[in-house]
Amino acid sequence: MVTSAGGGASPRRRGRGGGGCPRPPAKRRRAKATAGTAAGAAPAAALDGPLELQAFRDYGESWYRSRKGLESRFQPREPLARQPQVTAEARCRLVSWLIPVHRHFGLSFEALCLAVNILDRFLATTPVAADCFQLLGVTALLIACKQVEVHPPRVKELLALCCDAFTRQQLCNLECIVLHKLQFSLAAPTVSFFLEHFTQVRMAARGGDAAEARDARSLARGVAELSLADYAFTKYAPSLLAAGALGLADRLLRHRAPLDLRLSGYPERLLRACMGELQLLVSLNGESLPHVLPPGISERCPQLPAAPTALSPTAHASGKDGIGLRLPLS
Amino acid sequence: MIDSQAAEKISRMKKLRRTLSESFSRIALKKEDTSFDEICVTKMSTRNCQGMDSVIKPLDTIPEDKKVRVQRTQSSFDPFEKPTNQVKRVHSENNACINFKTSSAGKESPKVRRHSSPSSPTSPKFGKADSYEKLEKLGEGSYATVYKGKSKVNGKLVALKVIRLQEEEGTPFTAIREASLLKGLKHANIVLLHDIIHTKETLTLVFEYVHTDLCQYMDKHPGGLHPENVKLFLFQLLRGLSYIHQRYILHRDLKPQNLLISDTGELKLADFGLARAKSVPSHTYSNEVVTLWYRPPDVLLGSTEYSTCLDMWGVGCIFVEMIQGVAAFPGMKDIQDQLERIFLVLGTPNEDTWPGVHSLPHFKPERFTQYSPKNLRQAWNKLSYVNHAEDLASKLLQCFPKSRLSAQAALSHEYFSDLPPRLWELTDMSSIFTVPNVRLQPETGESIRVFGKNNSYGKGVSNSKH
Repeated sequence: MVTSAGGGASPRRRGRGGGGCPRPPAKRRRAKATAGTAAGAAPAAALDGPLELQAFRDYGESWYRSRKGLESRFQPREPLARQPQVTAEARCRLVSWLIPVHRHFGLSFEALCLAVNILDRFLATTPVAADCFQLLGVTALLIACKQVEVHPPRVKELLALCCDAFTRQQLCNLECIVLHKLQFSLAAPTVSFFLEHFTQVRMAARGGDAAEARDARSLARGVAELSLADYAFTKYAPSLLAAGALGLADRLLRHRAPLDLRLSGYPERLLRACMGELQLLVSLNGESLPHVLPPGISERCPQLPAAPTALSPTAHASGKDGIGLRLPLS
Repeated sequence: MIDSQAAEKISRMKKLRRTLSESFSRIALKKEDTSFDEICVTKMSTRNCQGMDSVIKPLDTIPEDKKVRVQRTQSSFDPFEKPTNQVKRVHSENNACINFKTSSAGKESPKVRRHSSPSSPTSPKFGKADSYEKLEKLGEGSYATVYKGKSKVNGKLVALKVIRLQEEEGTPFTAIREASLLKGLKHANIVLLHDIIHTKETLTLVFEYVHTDLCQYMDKHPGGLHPENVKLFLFQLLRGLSYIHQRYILHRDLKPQNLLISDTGELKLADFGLARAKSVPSHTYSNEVVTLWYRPPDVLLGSTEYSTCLDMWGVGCIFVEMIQGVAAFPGMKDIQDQLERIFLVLGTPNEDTWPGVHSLPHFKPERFTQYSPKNLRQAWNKLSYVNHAEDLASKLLQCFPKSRLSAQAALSHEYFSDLPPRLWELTDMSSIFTVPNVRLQPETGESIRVFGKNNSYGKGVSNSKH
């Protein structure tokens, strides 16, 4: 069931504390508890509030233009091309780990997107040793959180999640290096922003179906989350990815009034290619996707397997055979 | 449609699926599988800490494995030390930074700093600090000290905001936000960030030097500012705000101290330490951000849903303060007192005047005296001396956030209609003082001139849209 996939359920609280993964302090678990069962649930109410709509009417179009204008500047370009050790698989594992970590701290999807952007852009500038790669992951997450979260995780907590393999000093030093290399350019436009934007456009439009818009956003956010982990998707601009994910979500949910993708400004050919790849990604991750969706969404989605009950043996099994990878080094 | 896709694509995707499912199954399993308590995230980490060079073990074999490995890791493993040739390049840089950070180099001693990182050509070029000469201290904030400085390169004056780096949590979030947001902002009414200098213990933001701020300016000229100057300041404030609001950024900490004023009268928004991109769900906004006097009633009442209109309340307060010469709502005690002061003038809100006010966390009707709304001129008489000033102030000082005027809309208010039309056509980086006949008037202390007698814009007036 979805409850097991995140939110209020107790897994982390039961941590023994003494082991490699001490539990997070109570303060942060509060945020997590309110974050509902999945990443997508929490901000919905606030973002759909009247003030938000009002601000959107005043400024939505210029927000979109300014963010879209920044996309190419913040787009990582083949971040792994010159990496001697870090591979696409390693990146996938790192991001797949950052996803539950961000949920663990009750962080926003925006923070996760920024962290991955910081990670990729740093990789494009600096060779990173495989054994520092995880440190880079948490450092990127920390920087992203300082940028957009009111309560960023503590350094100590992040170090604990890495089994204290790194020291505070190392993390702080790497933070300096990352900030320096990126020259403090951190305010990247994210797929999270564009998902919200297109959804707002849809809700503000006359005859827009708010319920459909919200469901599509939830599913699209889950799809976009998966895509963050796949290196192949680093080639897509966030706005294209957002449009593709929403288009796919509408299709999977068989919506009567799907989003008009033309408003993204992309040619149909590009949108199709992006949606095709996303659909493939979804079909390969059919078992795990429902875990990141708010309750009720995957049930309405005939092409996804129903939300697994309690234990999700399938997910377990697929985890088991995900082993035979050997990471090349040297 | 997918069937036609290449098989290799599938295999690539499969790899992805495996790892993804792994991580998801981890979450899914934790509930039942007790061993997951300690390894829910460790597995990944074990692999990443040191497992990159080894075959990944099946999920169920990792736990035993892991314990040993992790211990080894803790005792001897140093992620920054690895004798692989290829890795050296990477490490030399990291080490350079570490050495640098642990060395005793202070920012005032470039000698030591240079000493600390001579070996690594790729080391970050920290330590441009010596390109600025530090002059007197200008002020002290909660996380930074501001000094006047002088560039050794071109002799220009700068403001050096020296931020102490905390040992515990690394670079302060305020510094990260201020630097990253300001980097993208280039506007005549936003303070310009010249440079960022990162040294061992401090992070220094180098700003253009602006000689005073609105708070000091009003202290120097008590009793209300020259009405024409108020208009020019307000116009510039709105121009700067409109610029950042259009770029998805809220300032969130508007107050006279944060509005810098140059000797020619240019106003620049500064102190973006609490600013943030508006992109994050409102539930993460802290409701402790705005100085009480300039904090809008919705935030005082505990609303966490706020948007660009948050800054617009502050604009209204500052407008009144400039005209009247006293703060609009100088609360003396607490939030309750602050709200009372607001309601005394604007009336205690109810569901008719402010739909939804009853559901705000701190709104308890019995706690507030019932006041009826007044004309603003009753509270601040000087508003009535200037055409349309009261109307504009009342549109900004709306308790109900939705009714508050936006920065863009305020710029088109009649109050500004006697300004030269060219002011609305300026490019972002052009100062309003590039328009002919627009200039600061000398302040004359107590003087409040009756509107209409003033011809400071000369021709500009006859050309204006009025």
